[in-house]
Amino acid sequence: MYRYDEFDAKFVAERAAQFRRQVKRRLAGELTEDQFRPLRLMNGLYLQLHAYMLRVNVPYGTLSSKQMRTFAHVARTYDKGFGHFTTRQNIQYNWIKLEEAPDAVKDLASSEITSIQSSGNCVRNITSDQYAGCAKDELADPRIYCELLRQYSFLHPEFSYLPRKFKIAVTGSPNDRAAVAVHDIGLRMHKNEQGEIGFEVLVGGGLGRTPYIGQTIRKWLHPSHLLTYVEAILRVYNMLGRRDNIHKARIKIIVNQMGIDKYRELVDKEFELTKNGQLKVPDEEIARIKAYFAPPKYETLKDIGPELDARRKTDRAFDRWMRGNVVEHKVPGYAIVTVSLKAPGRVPGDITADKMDAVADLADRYSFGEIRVSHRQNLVLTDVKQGDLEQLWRELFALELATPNLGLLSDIICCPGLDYCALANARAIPIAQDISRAFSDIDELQRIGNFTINISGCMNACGHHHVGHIGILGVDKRGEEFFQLTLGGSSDQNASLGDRLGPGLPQAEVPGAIRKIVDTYLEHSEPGERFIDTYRRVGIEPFKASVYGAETAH
Amino acid sequence: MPQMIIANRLVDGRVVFLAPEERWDTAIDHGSVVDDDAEAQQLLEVAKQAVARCLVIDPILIQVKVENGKVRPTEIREVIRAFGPTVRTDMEDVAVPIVGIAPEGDRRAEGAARVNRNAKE
Repeated sequence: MYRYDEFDAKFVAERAAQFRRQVKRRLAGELTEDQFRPLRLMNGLYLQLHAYMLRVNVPYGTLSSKQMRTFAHVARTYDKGFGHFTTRQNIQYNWIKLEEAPDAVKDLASSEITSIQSSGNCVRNITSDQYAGCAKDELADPRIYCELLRQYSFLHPEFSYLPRKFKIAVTGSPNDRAAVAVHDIGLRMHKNEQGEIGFEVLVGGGLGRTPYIGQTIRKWLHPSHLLTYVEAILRVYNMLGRRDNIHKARIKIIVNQMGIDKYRELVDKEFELTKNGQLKVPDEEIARIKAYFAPPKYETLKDIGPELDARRKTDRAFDRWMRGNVVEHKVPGYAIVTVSLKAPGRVPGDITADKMDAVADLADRYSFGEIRVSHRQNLVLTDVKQGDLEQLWRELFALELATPNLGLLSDIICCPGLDYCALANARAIPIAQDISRAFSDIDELQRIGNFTINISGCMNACGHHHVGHIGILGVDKRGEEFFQLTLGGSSDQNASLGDRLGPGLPQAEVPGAIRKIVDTYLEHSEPGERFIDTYRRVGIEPFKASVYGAETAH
Repeated sequence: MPQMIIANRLVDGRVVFLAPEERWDTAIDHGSVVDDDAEAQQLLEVAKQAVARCLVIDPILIQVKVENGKVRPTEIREVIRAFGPTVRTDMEDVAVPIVGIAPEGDRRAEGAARVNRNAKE
């Protein structure tokens, strides 16, 4: 993984010291809140309902065991002993004190972690596939290009005050696990007709109040032009973005108002001016960054499928976990293991400091000391020897991190909602807890199959509700919380926005409604057909009828 | 409708209520509750001075109900601010045990099976 050079380390340490002076001046009354707010936000420090919240970047979802231990230390020392992994592969601490925030930032910096650009109208944490570098279906490791973009966009003076925040995601696999179509820029690696690897560039995707699926602005981009082309997109946006209206300030609004062809024309014009300039990335620079992501020293092993199969036949619990949370690795003899943060009744994405330390220890012992964070709020150990799987499973189980529900109905995405967030209109976490408790039979979940439920506590959509197979949006209706369901959303390579099912439901009725949707799916599905495919085939009407009754269905 | 002032304390962001003698208290029941708008505006003036003195940020008036000496905001957002998240904050063990996922010999497996049997009964 990327390691700070001397410049990075010095710079981040200086920024931490600068933040300390800013906090000191604020506490001494030398800065008003209006003066201080943008300074703290530049360091990822928000004021939420109960306390300050510190959002810390995990670039492209990759962190070392040392960094995970630092997360644990910060949780224990400056928070209430836990942290929350988010849909942007970041971690958030909910109970930070302003007076202690500079210490937290300094401690994070000592492990090459920053909260810079985790807030504000700049290029945010660049996200990627949690299996990057290890996935069997991958063309190339997307993190190399994420890191290139990170270095380029980090404190870039031209793009530090964009009209609004800007999110970029990169996938190196045709099976999109990074939700690139719902980002301001989505980059999909693929081969052109000559067999060269490059990027399909999508622009103008996003969720929130006005959701859009990104559109292809360029079918294939040579990697050497990644920075110049992204810069052209950013520059056009920076000039045209609606700074007069926060709700219309994202790039998706511009792209969709003027149309993709016109936007492409403007970007191409800019690109022509700069594409062979100093930002054209030389092969040596890509090679330099690539070296940081060199594969770990894998042993020469053979797949032990038959041996594992035999073991799975005699131990159904192990079989459930293998089926649920283990996927194929590109290197023979290894496997990718998802560490579920979705035990029924738990808060999706939350993990205690003690468990963070324990996961760091497991990463050291079983996975070359590296951990990934998925945008679906789980952790991943990417490089586990197949022969170690059973022992790792036992240890994860003891930590309550082995719920075998990856991609199943209880693997719920959930924002902090009104329990913590100052923007929320309704709670999200209790809904996730109700649903996961109601669907805790693993055999039933595995029978139901792939099913994503995404929950947001307001229309800002941090919980990605528009792209959940079932989306749940919390709304405030005359002082009471109601939950609107959408069906048919997806954030994979066939991304789609969900359709609204009907009027909002009170909290108590949500698990029952989910049950009816599942029953309707099972009734209409063909053998082996996923919920999303059944939904696309039969449409919303049967589901409407089952949840609201035949009369309101039409 | 009774009203009071809620704010966040600057130094740590904790939720506080304006109490008598210009104090700020984390307990809602210690806060000053007033009945008419003129008094409420007076409280807001006191709160604005506290902002200028860097004690609190974002003070606002909220509507509350008082029953048996207990104060409770009328809006859920302010209820959650006053009393904390409605989900546990300290990660005590609330997860539902699941049947059939425990390694053999793990004592939690027996616990899960027992819980599930009871649930069925």
